Amino acid sequence: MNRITIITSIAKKEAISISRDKFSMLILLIMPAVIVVMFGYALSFELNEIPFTVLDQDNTPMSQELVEYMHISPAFYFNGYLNQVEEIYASLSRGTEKLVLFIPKGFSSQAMHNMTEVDLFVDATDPLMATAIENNLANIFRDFTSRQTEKYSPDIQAAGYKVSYLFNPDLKNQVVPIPGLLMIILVLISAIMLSLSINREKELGTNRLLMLTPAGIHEIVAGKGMVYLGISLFHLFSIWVLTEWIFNIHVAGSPAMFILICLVFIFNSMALGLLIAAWVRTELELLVGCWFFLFTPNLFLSGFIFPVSTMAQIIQPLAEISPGASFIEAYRGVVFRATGLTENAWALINLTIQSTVAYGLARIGFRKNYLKRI
Amino acid sequence: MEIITTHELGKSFGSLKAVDRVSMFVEEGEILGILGANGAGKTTLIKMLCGTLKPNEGSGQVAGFDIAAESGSIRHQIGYMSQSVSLLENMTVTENIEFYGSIYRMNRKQLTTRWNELQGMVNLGSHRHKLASELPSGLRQMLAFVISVLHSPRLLFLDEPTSGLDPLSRTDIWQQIYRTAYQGTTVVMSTHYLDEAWYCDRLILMENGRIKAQGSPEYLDSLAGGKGLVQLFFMSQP
Repeated sequence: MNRITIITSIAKKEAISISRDKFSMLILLIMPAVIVVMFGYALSFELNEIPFTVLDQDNTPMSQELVEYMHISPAFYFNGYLNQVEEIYASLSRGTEKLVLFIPKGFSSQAMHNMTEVDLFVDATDPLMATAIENNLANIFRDFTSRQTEKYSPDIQAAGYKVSYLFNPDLKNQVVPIPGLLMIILVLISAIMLSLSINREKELGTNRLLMLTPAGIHEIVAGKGMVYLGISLFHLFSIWVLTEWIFNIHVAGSPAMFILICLVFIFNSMALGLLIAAWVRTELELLVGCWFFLFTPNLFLSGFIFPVSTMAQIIQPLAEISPGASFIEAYRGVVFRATGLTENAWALINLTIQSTVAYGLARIGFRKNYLKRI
Repeated sequence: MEIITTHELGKSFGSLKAVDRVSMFVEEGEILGILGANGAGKTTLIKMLCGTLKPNEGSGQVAGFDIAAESGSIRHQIGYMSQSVSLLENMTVTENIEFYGSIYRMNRKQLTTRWNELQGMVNLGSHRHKLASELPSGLRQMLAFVISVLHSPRLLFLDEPTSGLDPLSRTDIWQQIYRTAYQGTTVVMSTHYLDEAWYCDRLILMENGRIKAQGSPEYLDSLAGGKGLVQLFFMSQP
């Protein structure tokens, strides 16, 4: 009986503690629902409006019908016609389209008499998505052929297609996890370890003395950040060498562009980590904050596990602005498609704006919370 | 010459007036003690004088710099040591000294000279390779004190510097405070120990954020009708 009384008292004390701690209440009551709703939308393998362009040299009702067939499929989104063969590579290099349909001259006339074939050029920097695209195309072409047979003649030959994978012709699977793993490692070191270190100063009280010296918050952050930047760069170069050496994946684009993208992402992670460190009180809050606001979105919304284009439309804008998505897209671009500054401008601007805003808010937080504890 | 002056200085947190229209001065080279019960406003006043907390009202100057607008410049002039010692625990005594020396922009030669000078005065030399976390509380406090005076500041703020120490360690710290003041550093300190109040040149007694009395220890003692500072202190309790 005594033991039950003790357990009841402890349970009561715990319930009161939780109910009076806003952060714990947030974690326990709201966060599970947010996670389920948010990531329930993200966890999908169905292709959704993958942008494609068409080079239609046949330009007949039948070729236009094929384009229409692809366009009405929820998996694809028609993003316009190309005029010349040279534009095919450029269209996919930009990264805005994942697929180009090339319909050669004589497509419809040959269909009436003989086997006909179109060419499909698929961006294979994400081999999982490339395979999913091919699977969807198989269904579309089967339906298209069956319709043509009904419409014109039972003797009409099936429209075949030949898929060419660009940028990763062997569909190397290693290319899938590497940018995502690199992203996670950089987030762990530059955001989570840095913010933990800042928070530890707060919890140990060493910030008290530091803030009364000529060292301002900027100097403290810069000094600490330098170390974590160094560690991040060490891991970046190690992974770079390993991927070249073991997986035979070479940076097709400019190494300077590759380093720039990684640096901008590291600074973005640092700024977001600092933002969280500036506004939380305890290490537990910091870890939960990093897990919820940094780690999980980067893991699920970045396209690391599930391609952004397969996510529900409502979640896609959020995913597209997530730092991880910008980093992975830019990484794949520069490593496989040799993209340059123009193609990566969105990723670089997005990450820089986020870093600036996050650091600005972190400054306010440090001013409010860091000095208060002196 | 006055190194600190304040005029009607005030700081509120919501409806709570932590410091209420405090006008005071500190002469260069003197040891000023701030006395008061918990919540009297001592720490808030010290924070404002150090430039880490902006006042809501009034004005003040520390070492010629405005406390609201020039806190960065004030930090170059002051040393600070708080009741809860905040050392770099996983660094040795020497590493702590070297770190803070570099923060105060001392070059190697200046730092070595100063550290040698201080080692001769305090009992830290034989512990210089020990981690800060391995030091007994008296030596930790002494290390914190050494760090606060490492750069020979014009002004030293001590927030209950002897709190929790044994009498011997308190005496050691006080010897160093006197030595520092003798070398020309102005000392502003808060304390709960009334016997230590007698070591100060001048005292300020705070109550509910206001200055209740100020003057030499003898003068404040006389205010209590010769019943001692203890009586005056208890008269100020809420």
